Amino acid sequence: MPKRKAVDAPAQVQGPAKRVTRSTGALSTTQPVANATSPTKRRGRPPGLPANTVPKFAKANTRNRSNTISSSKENERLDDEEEEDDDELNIASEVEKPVGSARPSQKVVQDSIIVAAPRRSRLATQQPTVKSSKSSTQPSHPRTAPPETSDEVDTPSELPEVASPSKTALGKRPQIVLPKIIPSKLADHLSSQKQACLAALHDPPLAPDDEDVVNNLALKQLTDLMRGTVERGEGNSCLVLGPAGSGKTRIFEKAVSNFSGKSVVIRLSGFVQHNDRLAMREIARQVVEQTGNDKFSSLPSDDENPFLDDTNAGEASTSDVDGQISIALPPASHLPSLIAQLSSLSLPVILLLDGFHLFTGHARQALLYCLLDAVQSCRVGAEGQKGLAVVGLTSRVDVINLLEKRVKSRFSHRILRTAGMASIDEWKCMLRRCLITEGDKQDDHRDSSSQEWRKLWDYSIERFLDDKATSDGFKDLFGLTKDVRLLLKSMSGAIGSLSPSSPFLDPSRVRSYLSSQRCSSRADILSKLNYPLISMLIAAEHVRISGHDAFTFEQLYELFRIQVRMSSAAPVAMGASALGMVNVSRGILMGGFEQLAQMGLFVPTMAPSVGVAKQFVKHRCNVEREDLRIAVGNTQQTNLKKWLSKAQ
Amino acid sequence: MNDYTTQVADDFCCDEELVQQVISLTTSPTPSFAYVYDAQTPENTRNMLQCVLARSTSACGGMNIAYAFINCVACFSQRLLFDTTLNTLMKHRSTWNNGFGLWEDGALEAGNWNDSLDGFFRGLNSCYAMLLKGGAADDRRPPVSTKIVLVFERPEKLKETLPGIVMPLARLHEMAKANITTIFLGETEWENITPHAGTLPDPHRITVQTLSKEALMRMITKKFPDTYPETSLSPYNPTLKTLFAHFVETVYNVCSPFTVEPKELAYLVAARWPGFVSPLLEDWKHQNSEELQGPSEESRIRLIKLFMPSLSNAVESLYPRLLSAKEWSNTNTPPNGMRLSRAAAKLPQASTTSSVITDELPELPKISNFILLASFLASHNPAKTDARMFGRNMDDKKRKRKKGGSPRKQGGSAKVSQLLQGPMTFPYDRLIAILGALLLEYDDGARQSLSFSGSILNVESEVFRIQTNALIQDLMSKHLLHRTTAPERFDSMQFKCGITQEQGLALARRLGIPLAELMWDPM
Repeated sequence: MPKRKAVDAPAQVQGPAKRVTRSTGALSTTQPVANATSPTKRRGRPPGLPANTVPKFAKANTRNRSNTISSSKENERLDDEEEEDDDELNIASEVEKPVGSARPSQKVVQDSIIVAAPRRSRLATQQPTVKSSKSSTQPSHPRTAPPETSDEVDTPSELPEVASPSKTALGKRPQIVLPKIIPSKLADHLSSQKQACLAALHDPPLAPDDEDVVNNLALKQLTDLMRGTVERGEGNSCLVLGPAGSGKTRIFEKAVSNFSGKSVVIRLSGFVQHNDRLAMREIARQVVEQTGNDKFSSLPSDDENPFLDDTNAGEASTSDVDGQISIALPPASHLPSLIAQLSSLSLPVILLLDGFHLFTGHARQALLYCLLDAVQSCRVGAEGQKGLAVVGLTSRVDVINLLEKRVKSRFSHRILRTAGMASIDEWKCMLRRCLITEGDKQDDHRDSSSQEWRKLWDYSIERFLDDKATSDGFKDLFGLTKDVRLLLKSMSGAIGSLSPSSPFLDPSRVRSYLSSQRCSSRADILSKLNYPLISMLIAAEHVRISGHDAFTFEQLYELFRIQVRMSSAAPVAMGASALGMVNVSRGILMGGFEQLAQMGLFVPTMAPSVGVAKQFVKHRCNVEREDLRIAVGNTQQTNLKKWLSKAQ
Repeated sequence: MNDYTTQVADDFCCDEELVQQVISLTTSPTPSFAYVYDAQTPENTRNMLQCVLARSTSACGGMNIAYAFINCVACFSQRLLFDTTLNTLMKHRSTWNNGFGLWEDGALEAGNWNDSLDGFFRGLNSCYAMLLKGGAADDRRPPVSTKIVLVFERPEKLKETLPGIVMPLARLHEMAKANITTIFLGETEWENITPHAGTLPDPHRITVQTLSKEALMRMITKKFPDTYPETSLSPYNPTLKTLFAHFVETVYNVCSPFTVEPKELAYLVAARWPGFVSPLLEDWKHQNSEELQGPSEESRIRLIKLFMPSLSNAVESLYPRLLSAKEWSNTNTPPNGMRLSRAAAKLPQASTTSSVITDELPELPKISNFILLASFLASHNPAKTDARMFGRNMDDKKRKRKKGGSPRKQGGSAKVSQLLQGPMTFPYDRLIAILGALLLEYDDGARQSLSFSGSILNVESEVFRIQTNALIQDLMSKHLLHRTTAPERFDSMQFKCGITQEQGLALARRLGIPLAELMWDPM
């Protein structure tokens, strides 16, 4: 930058300073000029500040102003000096200074504390970064570790310092400078933190009980329902309905965990038990596994009881081999009568039907009918009867309509709803809960480095979540899906990639993980195709334009041949090189055609038969014109572009 | 760890980031389901995965991992899939001694592990329990991490063979309640595999980037064998390694517009390399000194220039597999005794081989040829044009095809030549009619037979008809003519011609018939 500006600087800086002193402390936001200079807390800020940055500065922390004022002298002194790295973020320390404590001498001390500076601190994003020139000036005060670029900073021997509590006196979040590379003594903390975070992301904690969210309500209702069954022996049925990833299973598990040991929990899934026979066998197996031999012997002697049958027959219903329970199931003929026996077990039964809508597809809905009938016939307080609760989980909203009338009439129509996260803020809360977890559980090992790490990590997470780039990335994802699992998956990838050389989450990096978890666009796939394949696609586009939906290989080949002939007859010269379409032999194009069919870009419209040669099998093109246009643009082959542009 | 990552990435010519992702996938508990998408080099990625897993299980990895690679093409039924998984996982081999039994842990219901998904989950649980126990026995402290990793190759096959099983496999971790990571290693996008969108949990996606030119060349160059001694006069003499690298680059440059698949390129390289270095080896044979040296810069350029045309020839015939690599390199070997130092500017023409897949017609009886040609015309000309094309006027002069005619209808889609759309079906009668017209017009013998009269003609024509039908059957058995109606139907039989345009032209030339004149669509 021109030196003249540097000379002008003192006047600029002094001006506002005087004004502020005149206004005796009433630092209203009507002082844009004063604010405009506030970035000169970076002391070497080149004075030629762009005018459009002023309004932004107006929003800056008003506390800084006194700082600016008192340091105006210093600014004069500093302006003579030449360089300062833009990325030096000693802003942080200064911003935090309480109003009255801003003395140059103190500043020096504070600055000396700071060892490393991140390229983008939270403050750096809140306040305009000054990128006006490269000829920023160098700070005059001494620095203990004067790294000019933060990359050089990070010798593992040096520990990044944390702002002392006194500097955080105003109740703001502590301003910590995150190092780019963490020293070796923190590496262990990083790896344990990673493990803890991954575990939390895999099984994210539910919202705190005090928060009034839909899921908490559902959890409470479900727990109450189960309590009715377990404690009072009621027969209950209910559905938990909610979109995929909204926490239906977790709510069930949380609710059922209250009654472990007091009930038999049977878990079925419509995805696994494809028919009633499998389902009933699984019910029998789980019941035998959980109640065991002893429990059954306590049942009233009943010839009809399938479990007793087995035990009496000595068919090794349960035996202890190597400490494991191994079970022989009751014979298949007894399975249907088993459901009626569920409520007469020694413990109340809670039965989970995951993928409830799939059970409605079973023959005559027999299992559902029997189960709900058993629920309905539960008599509270009856002799030898314990409760039975049937809980269905589904994401299908119209599931009630799928039930047959006789099944529907036995269902209690109690539907609990769960909901996914409704806003990005909730996503962030969830992430905060997942990421700010204790890496080290051993409290007795809490040494200084551990505390050090905690502060750094927590700060880095807060900074990451507050970052605008992060919010933008989340917004993109949120626009596509509200399924929080996708977010968690992407975040696991990002957390998994942390290493001592890049120990903290970086919004841009997380963003790349977010996009990598989405399905790639068609245009990207097409861009990777080679010349014969793209040619075939363009030929198919020409066929489509001519009014035919389906085409044979021969048609495409004919078009390709004509195009090659035409381009060689009237060669177009671009720059130095003449551009003719490269001719490709029929065999190679045929291979390309088959490859496209294999990739699903060409779809055969008729089943292959002996009588039809493969070059005459009709296909349809499964590629949108726009995608093809982008892909052809990416290949940078003018021939192909010209050929495609002819298909209008 | 970083050294190791770099080394693996170097060994398998892939990104370090990919290796890092795979390592974290196999070692950390999450994610429990991942989809690795690799369209270009699935085998390479598989080997890399196996290498990483093998190391994790070894002593330096410090993990207690059992893993299995399951090929979904081989495991086409549920029972096969379950048995293979459990056996591979526990390194169990069915042999004569164990009665070709499956793996079991002694539990009573062990035999039922392959009959349903529930059984499979219990089997996996048993495996996991064994693993936990085994890990504890090996090491006094509890193992760092115990885990099962299942890698399913070609999972796109599951959609066809076992669609109901994709979902449980994807949620294996949750359903079997064990620390299991399921990895699908597929060649198509995940979206092509999901049976119903929305019912499946989205996997953790890992996309393997396509290989760069350098990586691809490095991958092929690595395949140069290093078992040959330096004194051997073989194409794989270690001295030639630099030349090989240059050669691979040349092949890449020639072939990259058509294909960049490493397998295809390696195939071409393997077919051409022995022929490519043979002039140089010939030089070595005649040289006096013992020390074998690679070619100089100048002779290398000459060599490459000499063989450049044969490379594009190789792509033309080897990429569509018109010829086997061995056959091709036999016919394209430079002549014996050709030396690089005295090589001509051009390679002599390659000798022809009988193994090329051509579509030449076999030798057929004359009437068969006529039948074939008649079928070709019947398949490609619209039926209503027959009268115009083959009809005769009263004065026995052939009616000329009218040009022009009614003005074409405007609008609608452009007409596509029947030659491009493929043959149409036609009835038996039409075939016989066209055949008669052709014979009458172009066959001298048939014209003479018309001069017979009365009962002789009847007998003759009867014999001729039977003979024709027999020949039609014969052509059908040779797949030169297709019957499109069911074989049990005798009335209104329909046919379709089975020869290509080129074959039809060759046939017409053989019979001396101007085919282009008889075709409605211009050829």
